[in-house]
Formats: sequence, C-alpha cells, structure tokens
Amino acid sequence: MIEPLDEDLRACVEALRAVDRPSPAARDATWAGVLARTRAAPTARPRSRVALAVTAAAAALALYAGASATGLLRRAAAPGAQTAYQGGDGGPARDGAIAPVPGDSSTSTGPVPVDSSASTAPVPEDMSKAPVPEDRPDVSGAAPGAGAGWSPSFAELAEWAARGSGRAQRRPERGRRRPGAAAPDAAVDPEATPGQPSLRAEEIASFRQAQAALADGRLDAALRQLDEHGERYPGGFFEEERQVSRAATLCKLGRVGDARAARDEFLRERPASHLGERARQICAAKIP
Amino acid sequence: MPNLSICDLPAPATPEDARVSALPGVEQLFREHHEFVWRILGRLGVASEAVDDAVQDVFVVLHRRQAELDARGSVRALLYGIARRVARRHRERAGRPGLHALPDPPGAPSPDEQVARMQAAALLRDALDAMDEDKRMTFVLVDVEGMSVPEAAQCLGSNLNTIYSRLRAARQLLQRAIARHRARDRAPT
Repeated sequence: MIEPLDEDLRACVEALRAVDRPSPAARDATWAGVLARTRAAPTARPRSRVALAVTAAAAALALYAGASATGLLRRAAAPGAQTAYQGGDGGPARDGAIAPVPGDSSTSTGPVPVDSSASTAPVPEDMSKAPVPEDRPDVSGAAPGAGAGWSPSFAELAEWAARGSGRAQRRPERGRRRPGAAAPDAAVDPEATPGQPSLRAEEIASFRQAQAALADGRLDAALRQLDEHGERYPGGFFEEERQVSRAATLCKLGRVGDARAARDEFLRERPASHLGERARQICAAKIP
Repeated sequence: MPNLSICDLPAPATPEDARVSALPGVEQLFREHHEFVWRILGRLGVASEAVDDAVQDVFVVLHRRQAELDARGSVRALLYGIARRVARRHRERAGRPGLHALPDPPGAPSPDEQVARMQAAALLRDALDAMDEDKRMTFVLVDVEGMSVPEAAQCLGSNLNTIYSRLRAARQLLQRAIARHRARDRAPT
C-alpha cells in the first residue's frame, strides 16, 4: 500500500507537473515531424508464412529454369529474405528492397522492407548513427484554414505533411542541422509569405531555440530570438505562440509596459486565439 | 540474469499475437501519451533542446516496429521501454549525462505563480538529479506520472517489493532535500 505524499513533496510534484508540459505548438510540430518521417519508412510487418512460401516457390522456379542467376538465389536464400515482400499478403518481391531497420537496434529482430518506390532516402542502420534526421518535417505551403486564431488539427497537419512529402523524402544533405540544435544562418526565408503559415525544419529549430532560451532563463537571448524569428517567418506557423512568448518574456524582464502593449496587441489582433487566456495572464495585475 | 520485461525487450510477436493484441494507431497513441513521453525523456536525461526530437524518435520507432510489439501489457510501459533507449542514444550523442529542465510552456500563469512553481519544480528536479536512476524513475513513474506499482514494476523490470522499497527510499530522500532547502531559506543570513 502506498501512503499519500506529504504536503511539501506533493506541492513540488504538482509544480513539476505544471511546469514540465510541452506547448501545443511543439506538440503539433512534433506530430508533423512524425508524419513526415513515417511516410518515408513503412511499418515493419510480421513475417508471414505466405511470404515464406512465395520465396521458396521463387527459388524453386529459378532452379527449375536452370537460371544461372546466382544473385537471385542468394537473395532468396538470405536470412530474412522473406521480408522482401511488401504490401502484405503475398505481394510481389522487389529486388534489393531489404534494409536495416532505422531505430532501436536493441529491439530489432531482423531486416525490414523498404519501399523503394516511396522513398529515396537512405535508411540508417541505427538511429544514433543517422547523420541527420533525413525525414524531419520539411513541409511547406499554405496551410488549410490559415488565418487569425488558426490552430491546425492533426488531420490538417497530416494532409499538409502529405502535400510536402516530396520535399520531406529528399536525400539528406550532409551536415544539415538538426531541428532544435542551432538556428540556420539564412537571413530571410524567401518562401515565408506573410499570411501563409509555413512549417519547415529551420522554422521549428528557430522557434525551439527561442523556447529553450526562455526555459533556461536567458531572457534577453529569448527576446532577441523571438524577434528574429518573427522577422524571418512573418505570419509563420508559430506566430501566435511567438507573440505570447514575447509578451511573457518582456514581462519577466520587468518591461511591464512593453509586455502589456504586446499582450494587448495580440488580444486585439487575435481575439479568438486559443492562447487568449494565457495572454491575458501576462503581467495581469491591471487587466480589467 | 536480470529480469526482462516488456520495457527491456519488446518481444517480436507472431502474426496471431499481433492480431490479438494490436496496438492502437500511432496517432491515437501520440494524442494520449505525447506528454508522458515528453516528460519521461526529460527525466531520463535528454537535453531540453533535444526533447522534441527524441519524442519524434520514440513515435517513429513505435510506428516502424508496431507490428512486432507485444501490446498485451501496459502501453505506457511499452513507450517507456522505447523512450529509455532513445534517451540513452540522445545522451550518448550529446555526451553530457544528467537531467535537464524541460522547456517552459510559453504563456504560463502569472509571473509570481510561475516563479514559485519554477522554484518548486527546480527543487524537486535537483533532488531527483542527485538520486540514482532506479529510485528516480520509480518515483517519477509512480508519484509524478501516476502509474500503479505493478505497471512501474513492469517498466523497470523489478518485482513489486523492490518498487515499494525504492519508492519509500526516494520519498525519504526527497523529503530530506526539501527540509534542507526550507531550513536554508529560514536561516538568518
């Protein structure tokens, strides 16, 4: 039987729960990233008896025909060759479609088929060795329902990610920055059009860096990064979060007048925003 | 020979097993458990700026291995098992072990309340940081995440008595740390 926590410890636990929560924007961006990455790599399928039988039949046929294609036989006899069938129940075999599983090598039990028609991105042997997340969200274009107070649903993000999948699946550039690792050097993103929220790795990285600075208490840096983000991605995906974060940062810096002005401007421009309640609490002493 | 649980080695299931114990879709799991995974990764020592990337990794691994994972146990235990490995890889990559503050959600309550919360959270975080991983994760899973003791035992690959014992020890250590902090605050300067 577990006894209840004492009062002090419970208060600390509640504080930790309250503080350690991802923002909705971070959640949406993470989900968009998951979508983009999973589109490039199909789910591992359990080994199927049908696939085994088809493999055996292919090998027998090759032998019967007296084919000298030793490569084919080698493939058919290779361990895990049965997984070369994609598409479930007895689909056709594809040459060279076996690749190591990107992901947790300790949980790997064998090779996983890679849909060569769906992805040209190389599949890293181990996620820890992956040069760069080749399939981080890199989705652009006008978002559905863009406008004041818009917050994308998961379905919208999915559709959106699908539209950008051509870019998401491109071959990774060596040394490309990981979102969240460091801000890109580009001054102004030419594709960032005002009024059209965009979502790309650089934008996520830029906003995440500002959030991290805010969380670390580096308020001046956070404010600078939030302003830079706003200039680089005007009307971008995180614009509402950015404005609220900026007002909160100003408040924490003691610039109460500026914070309230930023807050009031946000509330005036985006009265229907889902962040409205949060915004109202920023430097809230004189809120009517 | 250590006890193996679903957290240590997600077993490859046969197709029959997979049909019987199919996991919910990744989207549903993401909706329901994103916050849990996000917090756990922070407690497992992933740097704050890398937590969102690590969350992505967890759900991508889940997606890719979905058909092979045995979902007959706790889904959170399954996610914890993946998160633990992803966290280890991120720690190795970053080359700096330890706990990190998770990013502060923008636009939190009032600044005063926020400061008080941040201080209390930082106090608990520091005390957890000073603890060994077994006790820390036992406390986090049971008292922070609200897992049942059997579920935490499944995650951590330990028996129930061990979990109870670690939980008591962790609470005592934390209570002492809080008491020391309060005493320092009250002490005349």
